[in-house]
Amino acid sequence: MNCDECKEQLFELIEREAVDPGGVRAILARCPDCRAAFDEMKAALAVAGQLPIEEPSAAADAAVVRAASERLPRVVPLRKRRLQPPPWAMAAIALLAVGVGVWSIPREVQLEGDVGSADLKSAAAPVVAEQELDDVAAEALDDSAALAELGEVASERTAHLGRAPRTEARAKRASSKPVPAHGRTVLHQSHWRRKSSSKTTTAAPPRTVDARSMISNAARGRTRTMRPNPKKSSRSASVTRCSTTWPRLGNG
Amino acid sequence: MSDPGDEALLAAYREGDLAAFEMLLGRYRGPIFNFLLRSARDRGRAEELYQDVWMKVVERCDEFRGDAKFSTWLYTIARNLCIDHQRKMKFRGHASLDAPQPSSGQPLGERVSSFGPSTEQLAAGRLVGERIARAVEGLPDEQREVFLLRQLQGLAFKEIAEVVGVSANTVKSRMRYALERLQHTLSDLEEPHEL
Repeated sequence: MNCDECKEQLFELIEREAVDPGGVRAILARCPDCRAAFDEMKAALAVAGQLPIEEPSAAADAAVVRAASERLPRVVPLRKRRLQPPPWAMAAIALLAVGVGVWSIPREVQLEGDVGSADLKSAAAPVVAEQELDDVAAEALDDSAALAELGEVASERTAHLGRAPRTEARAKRASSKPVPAHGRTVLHQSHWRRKSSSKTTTAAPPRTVDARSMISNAARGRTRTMRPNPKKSSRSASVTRCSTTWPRLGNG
Repeated sequence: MSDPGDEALLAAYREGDLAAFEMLLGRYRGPIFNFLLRSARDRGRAEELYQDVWMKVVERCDEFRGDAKFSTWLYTIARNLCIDHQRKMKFRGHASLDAPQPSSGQPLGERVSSFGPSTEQLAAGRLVGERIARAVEGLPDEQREVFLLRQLQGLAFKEIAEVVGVSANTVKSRMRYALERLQHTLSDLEEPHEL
């Protein structure tokens, strides 16, 4: 260590943070210049220690304490705090709900697929599907009969009205039929009551004409699939797709 | 039983304990005020800054995560407010004590401290203290802040380095320069046999 390095370490020696205190002390012992610099440093620190310390005013302290007290959070009553579920519990419940929702969606799809594949794997599956198709067709025929019956009722009412203009009769018919919000025409309840009493079966819920016509179209389409109509090839094709969809579900 | 640490007191204040804040204030009110007073060089401004510092502490106490010591955080706030204040003063055209005066070419701070009464006239300790205070206020900003943080609060060099944003070696150098400057300015006050 030379004198320059020693002088750089003088302050650290006083502050007891010197890297090499032994080396600095050795140079101070033999170098008068370094010793003088050390004394000056100590003198400066001693003078600096006489720096007067002033106090802030009581008003300033009072303003600070007032601001600190105004900022304090209002303490929530203990009972209320106990009633409130902890945030981690709320997060766990939310996570559980999301998890159940995510789990249930693919589970339902899989169940449907499983049922279809099980039906396919069993030898009786095509027979069951065929029977279901027959049931749908029979129901559709019933529906067409019901529609014809409805037409008869309408014609009777028209006859009852006599020479009433067609528009008036149509208006009355429209007013007698309840129109649901979705705009589809609903069959009158009396028709279903009559149908259920004649067949002595449990009354089916009123269906929309669209649904029934769709079923009857499906039944018609099935027959047309056997005898395709070239004029309505697109419709029969779609129905063919529909009728062949059931076995394919199982394959997937 | 040992006194609770600064960080524990701040945490207690966050939970609603005003007495903890008052204890914290009692620990730091003197050093912080003198740091601000020697930086602002005006008691009225220093009191304003003093309240601003503690207001910031009150407002931001939720942001204090305990990564650094409370003293480091507190002095960082104080230093930043001082810097803002000095910028405002410069913008308003106040004369800086560090800037060389056009008439003498000497900074105002040094002139004030050097042209005071002689040692014999400064018999009263109060006047000596005033002269030392002027000498400290006449230090360059980067030396003064290091000197005050070390002298008033006794912060470690590493902690001062965190507050100021420089290395610990730079802090030591600045402190050494500040002492040399003070020793030069106040050489007529030095009486080696008493020191």
